[in-house]
Amino acid sequence: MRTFFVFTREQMHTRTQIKKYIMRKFYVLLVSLFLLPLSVLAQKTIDGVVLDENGEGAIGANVVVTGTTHGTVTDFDGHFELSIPDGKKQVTISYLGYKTVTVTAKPNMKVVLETDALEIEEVVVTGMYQQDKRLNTGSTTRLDAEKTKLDGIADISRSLEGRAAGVSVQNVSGTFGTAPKIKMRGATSIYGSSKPLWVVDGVIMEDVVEVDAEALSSGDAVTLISSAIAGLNADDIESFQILKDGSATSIYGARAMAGVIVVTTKKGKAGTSKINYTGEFSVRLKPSYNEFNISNSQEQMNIYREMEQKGWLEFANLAKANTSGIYGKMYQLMNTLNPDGTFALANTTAARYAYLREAEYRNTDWFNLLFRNTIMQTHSISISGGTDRARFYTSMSAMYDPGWTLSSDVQRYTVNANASFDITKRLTLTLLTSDSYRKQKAPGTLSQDADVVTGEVKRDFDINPYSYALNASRALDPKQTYTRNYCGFNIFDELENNYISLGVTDVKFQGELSYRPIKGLELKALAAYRYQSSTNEHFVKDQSNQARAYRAGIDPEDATIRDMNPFLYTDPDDENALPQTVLPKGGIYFLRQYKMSQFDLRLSATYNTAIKEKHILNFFAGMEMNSTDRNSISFDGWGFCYDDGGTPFTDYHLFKQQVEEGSTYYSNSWRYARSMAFFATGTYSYLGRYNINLTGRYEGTNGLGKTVNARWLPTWNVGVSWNAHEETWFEPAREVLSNATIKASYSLTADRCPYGYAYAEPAFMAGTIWRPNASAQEIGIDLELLGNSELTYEKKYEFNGGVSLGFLRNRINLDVDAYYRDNFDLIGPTYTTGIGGESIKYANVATMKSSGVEVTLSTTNIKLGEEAGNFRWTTDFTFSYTNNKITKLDSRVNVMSLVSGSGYAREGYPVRALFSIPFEGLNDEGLPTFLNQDGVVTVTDINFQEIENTSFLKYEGPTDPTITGGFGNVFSWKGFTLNIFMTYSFGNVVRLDPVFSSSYDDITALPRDFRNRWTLPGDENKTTIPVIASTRQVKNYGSYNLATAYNAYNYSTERVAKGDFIRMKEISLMYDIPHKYLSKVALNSFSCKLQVTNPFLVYADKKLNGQDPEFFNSGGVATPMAKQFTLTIRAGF
Amino acid sequence: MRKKIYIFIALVIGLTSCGFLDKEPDNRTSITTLDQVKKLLANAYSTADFAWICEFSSDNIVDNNSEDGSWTRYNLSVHKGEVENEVFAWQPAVSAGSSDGDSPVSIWSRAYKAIAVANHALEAMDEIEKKDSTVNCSEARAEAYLARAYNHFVLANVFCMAYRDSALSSLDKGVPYMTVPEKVVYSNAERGTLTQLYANIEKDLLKGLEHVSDNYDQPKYHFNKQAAYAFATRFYLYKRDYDKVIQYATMALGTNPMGCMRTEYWSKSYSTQEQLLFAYSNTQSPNNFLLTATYSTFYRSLNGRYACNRQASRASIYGQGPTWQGYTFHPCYQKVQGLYLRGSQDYGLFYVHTGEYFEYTDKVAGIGYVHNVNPTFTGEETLLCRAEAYIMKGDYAHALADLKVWDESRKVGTTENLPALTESAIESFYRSNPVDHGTVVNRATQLHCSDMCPSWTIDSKQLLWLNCVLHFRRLETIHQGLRWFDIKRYGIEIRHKQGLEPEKILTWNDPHRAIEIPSTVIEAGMEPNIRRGTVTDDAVVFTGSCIAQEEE
Repeated sequence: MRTFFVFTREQMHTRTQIKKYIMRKFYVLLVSLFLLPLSVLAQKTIDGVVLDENGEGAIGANVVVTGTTHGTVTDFDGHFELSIPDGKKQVTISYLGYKTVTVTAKPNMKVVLETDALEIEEVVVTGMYQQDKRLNTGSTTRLDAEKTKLDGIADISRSLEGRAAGVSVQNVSGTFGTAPKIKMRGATSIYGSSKPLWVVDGVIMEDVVEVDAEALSSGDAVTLISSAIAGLNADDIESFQILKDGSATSIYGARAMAGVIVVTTKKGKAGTSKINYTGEFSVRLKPSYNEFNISNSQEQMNIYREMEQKGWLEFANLAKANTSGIYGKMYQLMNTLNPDGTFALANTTAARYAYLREAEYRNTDWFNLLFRNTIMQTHSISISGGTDRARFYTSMSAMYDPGWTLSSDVQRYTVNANASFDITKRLTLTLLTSDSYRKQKAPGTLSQDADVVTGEVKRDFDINPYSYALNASRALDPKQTYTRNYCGFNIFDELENNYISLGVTDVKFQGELSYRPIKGLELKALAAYRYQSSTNEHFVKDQSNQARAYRAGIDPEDATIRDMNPFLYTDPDDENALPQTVLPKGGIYFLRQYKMSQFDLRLSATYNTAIKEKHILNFFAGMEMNSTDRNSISFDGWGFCYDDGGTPFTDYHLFKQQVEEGSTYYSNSWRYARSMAFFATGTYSYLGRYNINLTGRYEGTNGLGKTVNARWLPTWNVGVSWNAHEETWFEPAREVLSNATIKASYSLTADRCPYGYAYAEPAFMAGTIWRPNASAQEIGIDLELLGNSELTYEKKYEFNGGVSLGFLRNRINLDVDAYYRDNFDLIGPTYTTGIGGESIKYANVATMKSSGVEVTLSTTNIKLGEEAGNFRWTTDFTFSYTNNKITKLDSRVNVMSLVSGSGYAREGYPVRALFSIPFEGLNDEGLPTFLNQDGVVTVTDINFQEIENTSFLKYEGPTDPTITGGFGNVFSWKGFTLNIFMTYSFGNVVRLDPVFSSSYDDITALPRDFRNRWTLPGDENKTTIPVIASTRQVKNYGSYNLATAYNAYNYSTERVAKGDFIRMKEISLMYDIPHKYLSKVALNSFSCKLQVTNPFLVYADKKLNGQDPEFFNSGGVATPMAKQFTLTIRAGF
Repeated sequence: MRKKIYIFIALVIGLTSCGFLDKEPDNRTSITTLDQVKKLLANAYSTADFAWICEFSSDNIVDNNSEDGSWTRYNLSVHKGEVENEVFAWQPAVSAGSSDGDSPVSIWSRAYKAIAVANHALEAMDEIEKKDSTVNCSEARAEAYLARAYNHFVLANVFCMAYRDSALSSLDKGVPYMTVPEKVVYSNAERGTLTQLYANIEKDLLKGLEHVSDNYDQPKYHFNKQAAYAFATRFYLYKRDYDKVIQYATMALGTNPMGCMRTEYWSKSYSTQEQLLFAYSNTQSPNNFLLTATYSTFYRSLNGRYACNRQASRASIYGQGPTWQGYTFHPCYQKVQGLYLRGSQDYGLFYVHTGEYFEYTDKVAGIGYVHNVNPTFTGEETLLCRAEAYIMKGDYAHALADLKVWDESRKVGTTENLPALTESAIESFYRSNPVDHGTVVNRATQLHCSDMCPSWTIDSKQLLWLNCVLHFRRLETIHQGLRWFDIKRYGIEIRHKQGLEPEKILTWNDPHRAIEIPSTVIEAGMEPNIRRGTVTDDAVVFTGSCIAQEEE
């Protein structure tokens, strides 16, 4: 019994039910016709029960005395009674969707039917109702969770990569809790997130914070809670249903423009009691320098030597520099007196040489020091069972991850329970709860910032172990303290003193009541409440570099540093004020809290009927309401003395400074989403051959502001399909072509406008108005956005056509879908005369077109019998191609936006298009030259702010892949299963890490590319790696200009790679111990599986040099997906 | 069954009608009380600064890249600001970024934004009064009208030609006068004529003056009484209605104009630039009638290629006057941190109030907004308006009294024994200095009053006195942009020498005196000042009627 929606089998399998209904009537007639004359001949009467594979009574199964036309049908509980004529010993039992069996008749017999492989996937679960797949006209894919699941990967959304055609999953970060970038059929909005909707057991999983698709790769702490389903235990999931086109998603209307992923959790079954245990043990490999292109310490010291010769790394500049490493430390040691009066490092050439030579041989392996080979464990236990009236499934799981890096660990506990009870035969109550708690540690981080002045994306105080290992010079001594922010810095001390502790509570309570007053009609009510709270505490302890940076120059006192340190405060009201610290003691306690409460109510009715045994009709209609309240609180506790037992010690200057600078130490803000919808869908089918589906939905939201006109929107869908295999003339072909369906749909779907861009009514927001002094400040209300009475939803017309074919009794299954989408009324900028108060408005002015093809091919290549150990080889191949093009958009953007990593929207190009500055080779000084906005070859005259003349930039490609898919092979023999699964992705471009600069410091690691750098005139003919600029060159060109040149090089045609890759995602070997060995030890089933996840890239652009094409190395809390080994043990009792 | 359906329908209707979807999507406010209207009106002041574009158009700035007297060129390092080149050449500032606080598009859209705020406030007050007739919104309405009038007035000054008279200015283009909130994406409005624009401004101004009050939390950042009268003074001065200038200036200044001068500021010493800045924009200072906090990087554009240097500085803050002999003598120049903060032979002078305030948005990253606090209306400027009106009315005694107050107020901190300002001092100085260090073509003939408007005539004595008041105004409002409006009003012809190009003269009737409306606004369908492509804009000949010339 699927208790997801409390349907009886009868109502779920519409077609089955109808056939059964027809058959039953027919047989009742048949039986009454034949029973009378035959009764004289009756020798004996047997009775029995026919059960399906779930142990439930098969209603309306056909029981016929073999070789005769004499028979009966089973009743509601699967019971039957049949008289057996003399000489007949066997009965044949047939039931649609199950293998027909012939068994010896005996009294009180019990027959358990086996499902027929042909009939798998016969149901489409839309999350609201279920439909016979053969009546479905939309593009959907159903994935069995057991086959999809990646053991050792706790977040189930990651396991969808490469599994379903049309779904692209990009693991932009591998840290637990961060969501992968999932796109279904590409982008559907220019400024909106284009994220698919997650529906778990009929309830939409709202995000606690709305992190848009591009911000997922930011590495900010908030990404740790960006995955709405991180609280779901993978073992509780039964299946995924992926709804792709407008026909499939239309019942969700304006929420589902970017597709829907329906997750169904496991349910208890009547008559079977089970207890299952799953244990997963994973070990992750430490990254290795072999994979990357980082200079070793010898190469690095060579570069430093050249920098030294070119006038960098001089004593005067480095001794009190903001940041310094090897050389800075050397100068500091030369300045440090030992107690015995000697210097820590003698100022002699020999001593210096010895010091530098030591560094040269150091070859610190940061990866080895910052990463750990710990064992990550997940244990889950589930108990399920049921009687004919009640069914239950309960599970608990614990995940314990001691951490791959020195500063990451996760513990997650989940509970999932659902129970359903048939109060009467007509009334069923189902209760569900799904709860989780997560505790996680991450390295301390502030938000990523784009410096609007230089365009540089940076993060202050970044201590992400992965990016540290990539960026820290290998010549550094891991035990030594170097300088960052004018004070001592050692990564291990900092990781201990500066970290984030995250606690996430997620609970969901759900109740469903189902009432079946008459045959075929079901009324349902569903109510669910979900609460999620995430507490993100960032501890910046007293001795951390980040805290000490706020007092560098004051404590210890140093007038030079004091005058340079930007973190100090100078009182503007005091004429003679010197810079002072606002953090004289203690550290900082940053608290970010995000809370969400979500309430859903849905009332619906389903009616399924068949008229004259030919006309099958399905109706579903209902209404739903959703309210989601989000609250975010921030609090910055300055001067929190961790060392003194957590005493706040606040300096009043801090408040003075904050008032003067317009910042605050706390904030609290709310967001409210309300929506209401009415919907209906109806399907008519003639004999299951010709189907037509109509869906309409009328939906309202408060997202457009307080308006009555704009907030309601109707959406609709028309779908048709033809099941050729249901035609009578098709019968002879069945052995070869066993299944053939053609379908088409046309729909209008929509999405709410992205938050914050436009409202139907003017939006007023209160805030403090900036004034030069605190005494002149006042609270004002600002007109944030003008009202736009013409505002409407972003919309999409979609045409979808599909063919699905099954050959050789479905040993070969081929599904092909093609779609064309016309997105219109998209929110985009428009330039107005500005007389209303806004020169640039966001309105429904942009359009976009997209199209694509999706192919799924599953084959059973070899299928041998028992004598060959049931050897079986199956292959699954998915392929999807999608492309989109903005057809109308008036975006006037500057060069910086067009060339930076995530790309930018521009008319005539894909939604995220990446451009490059054309590189024109090195000049005779080794400096890079470019073609600039005026068509002139130049070193420095590149204007990153240029808006008018951007046509000189070279279009590189989209940043989202256009081709994605997976290729899996499963070999099974006896109890062994070998699974080899690869994913691939093609068509996008990746910006290489911006490593070049007009000046480098002595703490950063530089890539190996520097070996080929320009060193002597003439090298410009051999290399494209620019020279390490000398101080003289900086002086000649001006530091700003030369910085521009090197920055331009980072964003030039030289620094782009293809994002194409083929990844070996999973290799696993499983052994299922045969039942016969298990019965002795009270086990029902036992298997163990060894799996390697992400072992290697089969193919990637060589230019990437180890940079993972999926991963965005943005620091903060981002880490890539690890290579890991997982041992999984499953036991059932 | 039927009963259930009824319950269902009732539930649906119940939910829809109880305003389930009326919940605001976030913690935004709606304007339903008078108190909220007042808070809203705090944003009816434009945050853009017209000082930069007006100063760069005026004779207060020179190009250091052009040769000085000894054929030396300064500050030749690569210059990033193409937009500065355009503005200095009186060309449309097409290179200006839209987010740049000083760009034409910023001046345009932020003024209209402030106007939109005023219009929303007025609409909200209509609703409030409709609901509860006991609420008296007249004071808030006054502020809304004044703010709406003032922001249109700024647009008129920047983007239109100078006002001449009602007949002649009806031939010049205005800008759309917005009186209702915009509720659609694109609203179409004609530019109308300058005469209509001035009439609309006057209408709102008079409505505002009727109920203007001082009841604000921060009166100096709102249209208080003095600020409103000062606005009326300037408006009628530009409209050449001199009786009203005198009337409103007197209302603003009271019986003791000296009490409205910045004397405390001039008499004190300050040790840092911040101190000076805070003192200049002090809300306690009696001469600050209205302060406006703007986003402006004007200060940053003064240390490069363009600066107040050479003849521009000698004709203004570095030069001599009727009671002082060069920069060392006038009191406001004497102090180390006096009139200008920094200065060098190569780069020019910085006047104090152009100094910037930095508002951090991210202290750690050192990122934030650059602000300037603009003394929009001051006692000094209002006083000089009245002096000018007295001169135009031939009332030299009163004119001298006002000019003297200004001159004396600047001497408060000095130890020098400077002569008092007299009628003869004025007349002899301006008679003997007919060429104003070459910034204007010729002082003696610089004022093209009758050319601008045939009915507007001045005699030779008035010319000398007007030179004096215009000189004082130039000093008083330096780096605030008002000099440009004086140049426009009187048709003063000025020179700009840019790089090695030949010197250009902005003739009294050059249509470029109206700064071109922003290119994005033109692209969106607004009629430009000068239609490009039809005639080369350098060759445009002024025929006394912009419209006639535009129509070809």
